[in-house]
Amino acid sequence: MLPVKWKHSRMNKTFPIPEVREVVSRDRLFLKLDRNTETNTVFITGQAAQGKSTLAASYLARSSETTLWFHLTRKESDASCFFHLVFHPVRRILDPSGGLDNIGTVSSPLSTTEEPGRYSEALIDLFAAGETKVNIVLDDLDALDRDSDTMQVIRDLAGSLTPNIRLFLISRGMSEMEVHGLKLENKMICIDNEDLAFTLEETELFFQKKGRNWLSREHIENIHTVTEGWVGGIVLVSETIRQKSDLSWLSELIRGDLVEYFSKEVYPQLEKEIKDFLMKISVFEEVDPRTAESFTQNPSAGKILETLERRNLFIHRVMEEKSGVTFRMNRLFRDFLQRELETRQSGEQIESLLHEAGETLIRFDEAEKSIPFFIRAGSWEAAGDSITRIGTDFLIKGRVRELAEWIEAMPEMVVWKDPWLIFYLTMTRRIKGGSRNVEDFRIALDLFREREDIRGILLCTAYIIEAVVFLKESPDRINTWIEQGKSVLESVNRRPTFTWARAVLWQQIGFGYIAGNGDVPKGISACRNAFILGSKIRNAEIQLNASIVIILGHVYTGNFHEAEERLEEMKNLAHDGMHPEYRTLKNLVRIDLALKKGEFETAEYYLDMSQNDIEKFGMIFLYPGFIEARTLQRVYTGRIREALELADHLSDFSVLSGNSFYQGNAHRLMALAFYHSRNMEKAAAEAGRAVEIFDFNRNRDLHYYTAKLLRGLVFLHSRKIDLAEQVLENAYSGFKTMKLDLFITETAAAMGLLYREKGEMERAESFFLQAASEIRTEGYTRFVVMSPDDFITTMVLAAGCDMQEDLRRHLINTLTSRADAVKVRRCIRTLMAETGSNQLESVYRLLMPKVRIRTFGEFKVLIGSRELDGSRWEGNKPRLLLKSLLRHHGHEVPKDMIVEDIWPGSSVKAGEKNFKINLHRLRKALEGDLGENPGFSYIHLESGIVSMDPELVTVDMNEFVHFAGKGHECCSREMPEEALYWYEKACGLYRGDFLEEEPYTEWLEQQRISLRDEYIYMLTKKAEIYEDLDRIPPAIRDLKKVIEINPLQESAYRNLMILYADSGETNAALQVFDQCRHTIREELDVEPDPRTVRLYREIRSRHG
Amino acid sequence: MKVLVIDDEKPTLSMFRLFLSAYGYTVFVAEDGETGVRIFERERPEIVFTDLKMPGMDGLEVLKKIREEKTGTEVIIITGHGTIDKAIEALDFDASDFINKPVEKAALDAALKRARVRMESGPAQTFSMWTEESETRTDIHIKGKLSGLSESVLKNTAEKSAVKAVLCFDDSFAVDREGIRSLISLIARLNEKGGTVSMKGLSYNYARFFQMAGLQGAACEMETQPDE
Repeated sequence: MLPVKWKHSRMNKTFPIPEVREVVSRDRLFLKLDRNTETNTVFITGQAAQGKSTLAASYLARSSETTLWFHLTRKESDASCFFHLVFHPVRRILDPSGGLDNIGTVSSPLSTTEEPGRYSEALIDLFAAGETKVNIVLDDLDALDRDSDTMQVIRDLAGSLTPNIRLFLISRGMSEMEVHGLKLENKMICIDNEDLAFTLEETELFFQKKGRNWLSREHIENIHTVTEGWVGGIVLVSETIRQKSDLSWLSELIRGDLVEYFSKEVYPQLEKEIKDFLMKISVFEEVDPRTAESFTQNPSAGKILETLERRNLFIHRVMEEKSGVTFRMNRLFRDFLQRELETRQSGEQIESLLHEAGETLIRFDEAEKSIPFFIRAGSWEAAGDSITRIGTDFLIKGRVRELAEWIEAMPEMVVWKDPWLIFYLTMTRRIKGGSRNVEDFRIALDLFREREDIRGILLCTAYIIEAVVFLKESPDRINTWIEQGKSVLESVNRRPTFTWARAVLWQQIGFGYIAGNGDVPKGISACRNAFILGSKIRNAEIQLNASIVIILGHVYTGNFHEAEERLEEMKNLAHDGMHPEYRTLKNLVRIDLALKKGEFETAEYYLDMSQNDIEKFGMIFLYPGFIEARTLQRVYTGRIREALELADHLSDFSVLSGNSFYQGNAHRLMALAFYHSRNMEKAAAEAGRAVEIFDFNRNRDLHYYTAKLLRGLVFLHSRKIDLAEQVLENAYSGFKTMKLDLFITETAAAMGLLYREKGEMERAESFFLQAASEIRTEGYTRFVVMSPDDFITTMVLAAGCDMQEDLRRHLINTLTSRADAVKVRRCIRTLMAETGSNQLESVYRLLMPKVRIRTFGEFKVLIGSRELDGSRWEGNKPRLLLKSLLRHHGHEVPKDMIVEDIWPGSSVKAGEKNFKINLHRLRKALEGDLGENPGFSYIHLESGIVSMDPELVTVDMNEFVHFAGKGHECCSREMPEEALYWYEKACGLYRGDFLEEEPYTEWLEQQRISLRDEYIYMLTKKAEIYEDLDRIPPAIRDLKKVIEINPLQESAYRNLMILYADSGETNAALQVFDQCRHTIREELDVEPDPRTVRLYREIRSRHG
Repeated sequence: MKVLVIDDEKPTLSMFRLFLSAYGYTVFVAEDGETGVRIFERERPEIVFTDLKMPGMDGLEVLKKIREEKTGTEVIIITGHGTIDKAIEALDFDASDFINKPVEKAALDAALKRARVRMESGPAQTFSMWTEESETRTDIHIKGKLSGLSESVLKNTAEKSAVKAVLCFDDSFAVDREGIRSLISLIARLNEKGGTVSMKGLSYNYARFFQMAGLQGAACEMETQPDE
């Protein structure tokens, strides 16, 4: 025997690898597993007692990685049960600091479907949360119902494992398709029955290790043939040999008879005490020594179990959180024993035994485990008591499937007398039961009232409210239940009991107010009560659900700012994967933010995510908000037809839900879509309907005032100024009351338009300035109601007001970040034409793209960030005209000087004509698509003097001269560091000679030489300063540059020689001299200056 | 309970799915008739909602296919603009009920309630009719499926009826195309006698449907069931 030791030190003590008695090491299978470590799912399948668990346990015991071993039973067919079994142990390893431990059910108040996907998502997220390597073993997979949600969750997990997780699935069988599906994707390695079967060699080794060395090769071959390598069969044969040394039976044995043979020949040989013991405890799937002892009244119970386990007789030990070591029978063996029990005992005796098992478990405080025994025994009262004890906990954990199965297994007349059983049964059909639930809850409620069971009354009332809200019953009916709930709460308020039930009722009252009859403030207040009670008893679920309903209220009223804050506060309570409601609400807030910022693609992304979640989890109450957001996104991106279809759909939703608020909102969205598509007539009609419906319903929230703002804008377009004033004033004060800054700003801007239209310019300017200032302070980049055209007009008019230049610039930058500059300029031209005023000239200038002219090196004209296309010049003359202008620094150049440069000797008339034609061409080339000249351009001509606009046009040459001057000034003031700064800036601009593409244009030559000399002077000066500052490398670099530009400048050679020599680089210094002598001889056919020669000799003699 | 919704408009499907899930049904949806029939064959839902006008296999063909299976499924036809002729045709294939687009909450609730009642009461009852006379009016009680075969019975009733007649419909009332024609002529005859005709107990959706089918033009008052 090779017992495998438990690895307590590095694994979770609750779910360790079971201890197994591995007789034959399965090296060939280990090798297969080792070769496929990249494959995250291992599927081990085979018949009973084929060594599946032994293989996994012995393989994992060799590993240094953490292993969690989960024994599945049928109850884990309930995805919630499976989730709770696996989630917390895994999280303790992968994400020890994350979230709260007391997360209960993963359902939430806003969903209608029990989607297993939420469990899969939560586990997949958890697996991705840490990098620790973990092996997760799901043993007895076949105990689960094939079509259960848990099977779906396991399939999801197997398909999305992160590299740190390896999943071992152990099963007696699984559908071929399921296995193959994953296998084809290379996500699963399969070890099947054939793999597990002992080979002949392994069979031989087994008997050797069992001390049956005396068996001949023929015997072994016979055993192997009969058993086909079935590990359980080989163990049975070995056990038989232990009792019967005569082997004549072997030759007659056929495989199918093995178990039968064991029962007839081996089992009867066991002592009676052991046989009775085994038969009795076979009623348990798992049993710990203490329970076994109490149940069988056999003080040696623990010892017997250990002996059988040691003999490898189909009993192995597992660890259980509550009871420590427990034993589990192999299913084959247990089935055999149960058959024995049924044969030997009457039905009544068995029922009594099962009842006793239940009672034993109750004695050890195992109410949950007792229930199936009581049910099988027909002990209904005891079963009912146990269910009542554990029911609430099961509901909190979402384990409704088991609860339903148990209660449904009981006689109806027992169930329908007990309010708790009715309540729990109805809760297992929460939402799914539809209108029947309301009736059943009412039956339970009446019984609770008869019994004066306050807790029952609280809970029943809470879930009736939930049911009537989901059934979309009338607000009056919902309100009746809310009032009943409040009255119960009032009656128990002074008693510090039933905190959980009170919290649940407050939460459902809040839900009723918000989702049922639209009274958001009352709903939020009720949910706050629930939240406080939840905090008091540290119940994260209550806090989370109450917060979710509060956020729903904020989203419902468009108060996204509050929603965002609340989401942030509850971040630690929620786990995104476990709570799709939290994620969806968060995404709706993100969408709102993205829409306000104009990030429409981001909004689209979150819209798609939200749609998926809303439909998947049946979050009907979030659907209208989602449709609204999608409609807005379509309007903002110009997809008006789609927007109208969506608004129409919201209207259908309103009709179906019987909620006229959505109808009002649908009209508001239609109005917005029509207004954005400039269909003012329809926009006016729809906005009117929206306001009418909101008025009728007394909705005074964001939607109402937004409809008014929209209506005001539409009235403005229709020149109904008085009506516009009326609704805009109303919207303005509404938004102010609600403290919604963006909307206040937008309405202020709209009122600026209104008063401008009315001719009240001062008032208009005051509103524009208010809007402008808020835009800058709050960083707004767009409005949410105004159409793009109205936004441009508003921003332009605001920027035209008397304001600080930086504020004007901010407005224009904001505007151009959102709108096409061409459109904006067109708008300004229209406005200027309308008013005949030049007030907007300064705004127009700010909108013109800046021109940058490069004269050093390659000649380039950049308009904005775009290089001017060569084809735009219409010949060389306009370009020459610009170059002439540049030669004179582009400022106040008499046109005659330009004419003289380009057309020397031409008559005055011809010169004038040429100048005009080419100046026009030059302007056209520069201004390109700017459209009709509104009175500004880059180049001005006034009284025969030509100038470039210094704010719009910059020239590198002018900057070069400016920086050089600054450098010289600093030099003269003995500020070497500052001088260097300016010289570096100037030299950085010198990419080549001035207008080098015109080498034969005489009138440019002088300027070119002069600028080159300046450049050389600055390089020399820089080298000197660097030398003085003892920064030799840049000094050398600059002198080399001087020599490169002017190879005949001997002083530069000398300075360079000195620098090299002083740095100890004599050879480099001497090479510089050689280069100098060679160049001068070549170019001038003379010898270097005596000073240079003297320096050379000096360096040479000094360094020998 | 399983419900299948067939409609080529995705948003309509999303909406039905959300509402019916909230009502506690297990919902299946299909965007076209072919897929709908496949899902029907696989899931055997108790109730099917189908739009009439769909590309490919339309609602009428879906209804025919479902009726071929003889499952006793309640098929509720979703009618829209310009589908009245087809909707009347659907009566011949034993459409269980009609709801008009946009679907009203009351209409949906009524259709579901009626479907449940019909499921509980078993296969469609045969047509029967009897009258209750009083001094001032005749109550004409109609039960089961009204078809063209019953025209002579209706004719006799019209002749014997008082000036004021009330047509009282039972929950099990159903009708086919010929039945509607007979009903229209019954009302016409009663009107010819210079009396008034009103209807009582008609389900919400049948009332709407009759209005669309022209019974309103036959000058009669309709009163739907009180809780609808």
